[in-house]
Amino acid sequence: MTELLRIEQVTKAFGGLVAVNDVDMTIEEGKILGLIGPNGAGKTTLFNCITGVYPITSGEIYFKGERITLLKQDLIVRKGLCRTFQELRIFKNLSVLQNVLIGMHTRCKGNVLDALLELPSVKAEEKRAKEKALHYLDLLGMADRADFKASSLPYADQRRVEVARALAAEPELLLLDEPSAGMNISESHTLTDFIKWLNVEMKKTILLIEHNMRVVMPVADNVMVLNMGKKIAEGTPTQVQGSKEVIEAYLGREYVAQEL
Amino acid sequence: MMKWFPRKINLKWILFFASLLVPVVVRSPFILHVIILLGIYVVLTDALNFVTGFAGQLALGIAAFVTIGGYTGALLMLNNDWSFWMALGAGGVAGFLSGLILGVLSLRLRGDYLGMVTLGFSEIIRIVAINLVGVTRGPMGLPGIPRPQIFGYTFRGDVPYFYLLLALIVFTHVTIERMLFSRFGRACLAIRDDESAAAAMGVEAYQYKVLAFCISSAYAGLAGVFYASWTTLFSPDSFQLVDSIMITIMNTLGGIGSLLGTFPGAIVIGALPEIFRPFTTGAGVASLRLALVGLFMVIVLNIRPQGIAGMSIDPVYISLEPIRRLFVRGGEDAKENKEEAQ
Amino acid sequence: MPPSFYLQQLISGIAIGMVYALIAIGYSMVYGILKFINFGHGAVYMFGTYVSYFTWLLFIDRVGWGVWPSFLLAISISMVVTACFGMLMERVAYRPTRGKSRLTTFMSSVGMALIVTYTMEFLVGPQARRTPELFPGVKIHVGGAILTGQQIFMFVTGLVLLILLQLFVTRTREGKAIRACSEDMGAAYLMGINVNRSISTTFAIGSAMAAVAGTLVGIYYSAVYPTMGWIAGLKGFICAVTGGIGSIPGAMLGGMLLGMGENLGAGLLSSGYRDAIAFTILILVMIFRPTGIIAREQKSSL
Repeated sequence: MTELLRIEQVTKAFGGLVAVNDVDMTIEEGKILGLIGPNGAGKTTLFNCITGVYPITSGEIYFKGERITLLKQDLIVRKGLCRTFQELRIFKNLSVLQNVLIGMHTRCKGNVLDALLELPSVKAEEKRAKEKALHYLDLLGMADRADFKASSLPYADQRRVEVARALAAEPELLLLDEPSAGMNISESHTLTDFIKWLNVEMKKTILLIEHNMRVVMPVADNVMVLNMGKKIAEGTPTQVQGSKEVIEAYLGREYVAQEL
Repeated sequence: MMKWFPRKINLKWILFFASLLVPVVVRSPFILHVIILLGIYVVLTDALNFVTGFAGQLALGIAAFVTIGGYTGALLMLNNDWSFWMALGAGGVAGFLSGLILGVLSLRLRGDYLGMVTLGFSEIIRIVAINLVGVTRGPMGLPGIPRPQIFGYTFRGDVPYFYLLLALIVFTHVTIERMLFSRFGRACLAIRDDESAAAAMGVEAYQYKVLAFCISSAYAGLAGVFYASWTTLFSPDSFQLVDSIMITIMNTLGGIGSLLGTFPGAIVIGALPEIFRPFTTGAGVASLRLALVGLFMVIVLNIRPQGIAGMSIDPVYISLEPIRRLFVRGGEDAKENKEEAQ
Repeated sequence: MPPSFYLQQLISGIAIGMVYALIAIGYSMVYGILKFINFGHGAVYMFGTYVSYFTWLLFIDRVGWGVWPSFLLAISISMVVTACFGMLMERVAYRPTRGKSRLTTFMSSVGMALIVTYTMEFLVGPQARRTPELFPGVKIHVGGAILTGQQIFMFVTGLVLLILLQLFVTRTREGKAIRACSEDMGAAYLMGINVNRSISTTFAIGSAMAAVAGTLVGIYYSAVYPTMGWIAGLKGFICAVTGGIGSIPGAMLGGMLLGMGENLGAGLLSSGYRDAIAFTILILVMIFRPTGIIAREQKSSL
């Protein structure tokens, strides 16, 4: 199995506050890695480090063997990583289709000059891009609402648009930040199936931040647990669920002491 | 019969054809003169809107680029005998390049700070223009700027200039529209909505912002050359800080980020002072008009900050149904309606 | 250039710098508490100057007092009136936009600047007016340079006011309330601090300082005119960001640097470039150290 993402001793400090502390992580191609941990453990910060939002304080990040530690966000997308946001950051004033077309930005060509001259090649490119974008929307069941303004949609549909947008970037590694946020139980079931579909049918390697154990545990090949910036456990879902440190992190030392 | 008669027409065409008739309809030379000034404001508001509305950056110093463009064009026409058309191009290029310099320096700054820096830059340009007397003749300005010539015909008088300006406005709009509805334009709109998310999707945000800024300044440069040629005199006072602010207010009123809002925005604010001209003496007018413009700004921001047209870049259609019915006979019309209903 | 030249620029620079610092206070404090650049501050500065000017002349000509007593009364009245004016402006133009984006409030302040400046120009006319002199003929020779009485007065007045202000902000309850609001308005509100009053006080203080600054500058250059607020306001802003916005010692430091830098540049190049140097300093600061020299606030990313 080829290694897709490797993180070595990554640390991110904001002044005195160390949000991510000496974390190692490896994801193999085709796998799903779940990243869990209590609130404030540093999961989203780690995401931000990987995707280039924050420059890391120390450590290295490799993608497909290539060092991407210092790359900016937009270049990282070109390498084959794309993410969704926990708080849903679609482009509110753009249409659904335009949102997905932005996702395709790195997979299209066309600069200002081409736009001004309206060359036939550019027009053909735009047509191709639109068709592809509609295809992604269709996969998410949103194709019929392609021209709706993104902000006019209900929350769940906005989520779908965000995923379609990330898919449109055609990443090899998809980073999902709490995709189940705001979902109920039945929606979570669908989400689990959906993540599996992304992994198997769409052939995406997935790094998944989740709070909802019902979503993570059935789906993840491996799970990594962060607490206060440090990795405290790693392994298969079963291994991690049984780990004393993990239970302690979530429920507190007193609880564990009582149990024993 | 004439079933091909269109059901609706894009507002743009109505505006365009109506504009062609303006010099015919408007008899007063004073009003035509004001209309040309308003047209220049439209171009400048379009230019500013490109960077504020489509790239989301507050730029308060557009006068700098008008000045740079105007001086570049004027000097090339006066000293190097360049034709107006080539000088126009040079003015645009000069605007673009100076926009590049300022953009690279300041586009990493946040909103209001960026506004102040662009203002500062604008003032620097004005002061340099005043002090580089050897080149610009300082406060006295450059007089005798030649008028455009084409195939032996010289543009003299407001009527030919009006049509020249109309061509400039059409050029500005067509090019802006093309850029907007492209991969580039889409990326700019995404940057405006959420720069960080756009970057997370692979958009090279900083480069695009700078490019949008340069494009905006290029248009401003074009307007500067046009203005210089129209008034045949260009000085550091031609476009100042206050004018930058006025254009910003025009943009806000029209709707930052709209395609057609720039017209009403520029026209209302531009015409406002002229309405009050009969009521106040000469000295008072200039002051009062600016005070009123400021008042307008505060009111608009409090009541309707999105301006007249909001952020709409959708085409505006006027229904032609009533006219259509005149040409299409009753029976056929009814039959069509039945078909549509099914 | 002889050393006396540099000394002269230094002296002029420090004197005017102190005044710039007084203007900067208004920007700094308002930015600290409401997080927006109050573009209307320059117009307030001009307003305060006119109030001083007219009151001053009124007492000299009509009431028959001497130059100095009239001046002291005029400037005191102006401080109070301008403080009220500043508070009024906040109420009318900025409080309504408080929920909206920072840029909206900023643009609103630009509108206010236009309204105040040009209404004043409409009312009193654009011509520059000459002011009486406070220290006619008072000069001290220092190492080849000249130090005028007005310069000393500007320096001392500015310094005293800044020190008083620093004490106010650090020692008094009101001052601490303002600082609390600047740190975290929500928390301050929950702690029972009257946020609106703190905001009004901030505007009052900044405006009063601006009135003093404008009056001193008006006397220094013997010129009072309606558009004097544009450039002075921008320069006050430049000092505030150079020194570090939100900091009173920063405003003073920024003022000194701007005053000296401006004079030096104007002396070496040509006096016409004085303002251009100020703006160049702004651009340089924004590129290399946007948080200012005494950085108090972390520059937030988008």
